[in-house]
Amino acid sequence: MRCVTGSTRVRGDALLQVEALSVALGPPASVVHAVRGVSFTCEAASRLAIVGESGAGKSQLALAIAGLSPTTAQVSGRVLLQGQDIASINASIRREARARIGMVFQDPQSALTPHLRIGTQLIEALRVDQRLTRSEARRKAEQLLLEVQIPDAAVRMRQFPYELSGGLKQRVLIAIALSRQPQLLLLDEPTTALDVTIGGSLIQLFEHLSDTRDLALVLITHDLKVVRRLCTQTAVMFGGMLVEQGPTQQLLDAPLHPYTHALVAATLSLDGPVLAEPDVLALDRHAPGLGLVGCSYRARCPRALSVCAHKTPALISMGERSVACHAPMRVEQVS
Amino acid sequence: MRVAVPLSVRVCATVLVVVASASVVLPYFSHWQAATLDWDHVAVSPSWSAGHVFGTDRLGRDLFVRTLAGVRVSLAIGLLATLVSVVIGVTVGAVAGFLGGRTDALLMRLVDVLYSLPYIFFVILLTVSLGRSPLALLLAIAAVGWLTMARVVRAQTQALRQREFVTAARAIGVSTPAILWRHIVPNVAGPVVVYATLTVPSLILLESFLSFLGLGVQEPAASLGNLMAQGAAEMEAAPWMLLVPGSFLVGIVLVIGILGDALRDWVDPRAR
Repeated sequence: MRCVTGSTRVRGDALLQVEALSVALGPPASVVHAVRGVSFTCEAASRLAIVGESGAGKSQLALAIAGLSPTTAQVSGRVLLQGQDIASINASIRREARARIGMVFQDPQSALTPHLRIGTQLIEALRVDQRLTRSEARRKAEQLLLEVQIPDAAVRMRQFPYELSGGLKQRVLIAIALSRQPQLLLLDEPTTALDVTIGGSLIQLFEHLSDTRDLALVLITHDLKVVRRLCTQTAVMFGGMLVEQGPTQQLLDAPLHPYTHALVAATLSLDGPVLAEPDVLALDRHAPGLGLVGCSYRARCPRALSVCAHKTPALISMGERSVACHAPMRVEQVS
Repeated sequence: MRVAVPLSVRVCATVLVVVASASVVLPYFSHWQAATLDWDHVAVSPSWSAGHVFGTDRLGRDLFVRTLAGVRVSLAIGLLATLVSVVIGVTVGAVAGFLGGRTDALLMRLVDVLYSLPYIFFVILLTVSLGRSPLALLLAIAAVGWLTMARVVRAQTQALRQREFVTAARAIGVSTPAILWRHIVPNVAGPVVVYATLTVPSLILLESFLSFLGLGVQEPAASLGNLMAQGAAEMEAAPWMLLVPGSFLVGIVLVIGILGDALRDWVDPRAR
């Protein structure tokens, strides 16, 4: 029940292994390196959070893991699901591997096809690669709606997306994501577009699903409160790279990377520890990404050294945690 | 959902329905057939007493019945050619817009090439090489009718392709043809219907033009185009032979055009 970083573990029984995954977008002249050599491993039924600010590459990472990168994107590296490459040349292996990843998107308003009834969309998802008759699929669809705690499933099945509230739509999308019995749910900011109470009840639902279905969760978010509640492991992304990774509690209470520190400090909290010197202003001043050499955070980093400009820090393991920084904070406390 | 239907739409729709159903039904009740020769009344001007309300042509055929037959042919060819061009245009546009890349470039260059050909010349070549049958005429008209439709649908599809519900459908493993057919095409239906309505009159005009030149519907069958061609030959002595089919053509094109504009305003209020 834990996630470790680094590609040191070669093909084992880990549920998800991401190896040196990179995603480059846009034309060659003005290419954007959205994801740069990200590696991590995620065990079955574990809960991993990936946090970072907008533009850090979180969503592109999720899309690449699900094999949904835009056709114009250049993706390199490997994504293995129980040792099987999801970009395999064999189409049936690829299909089968992708079926084990469910994806929930950020904006429920636009992730449902507007002109199709809820039931139609669920049944379509159920029948994509399961041999089900229409009535079997209908029964299963109603079960799924009940599982994501939508009352009056039979009524909802006949409704169109515009007749549902945002929270209900997101539950329908979760039901669709569950339709192929995934082992891993990729949640791309699933509560960002919803209000706090609805978001809270969804987090409860994720917890429940993860427990009852032995689902692994990869939650992409910038809400650290949600991370604390839901995820045992957290990875921090900045400028397309993983800068820090470790058990959530330790990572958020005692950040090693200056960026994690800034991220935690920027979140006002009543019960968490108060960290000194929040550099909220620094967050606004510089855009991430300064070319491919050196630490991408150096322009904003109060602890930047000269080495940060010409050597990209590697993710170095420190016990349960790992950090990619030439001048990490409070190393002494960890080791 | 109740929508206030503008008066112009009601009037135009009524006129169109009346003319279209008259063109189908009335010839059965008429004393004359489209090919009946009335030797007692050759080239008479419109008169009730002679029994020819729109007059007759130089062979004594009743112009009322022939005009209605022409309306029927012109409307049928206009509608069918539009249907064919919608099928081709939507398919090409959706595939090109959704797949992008090489497929898109190839299909759209084909459209560009066909666009840049002088299309009248192209249609004339087609009708000449395929023979002068109504089917050949239909194909020739549809062959140029789908080009703009393909561009319209491609642009719409490119916008839709970016939408999250398409990514969501891909995420659950829906195949590309199924995504196109079930998730994309119904979403472009609005603009397609509007553009198709505006295509009908232009294709009717094209059909009439070809028939006027003698490349389309052949005697003794009637279309508005070949009726006008005969009328034009006699227009100094017998103006009704040109004016009757001519005003029907103008009326029909105008009425469908107004309907198309109203439909566009209704689908996209900003274009008003």
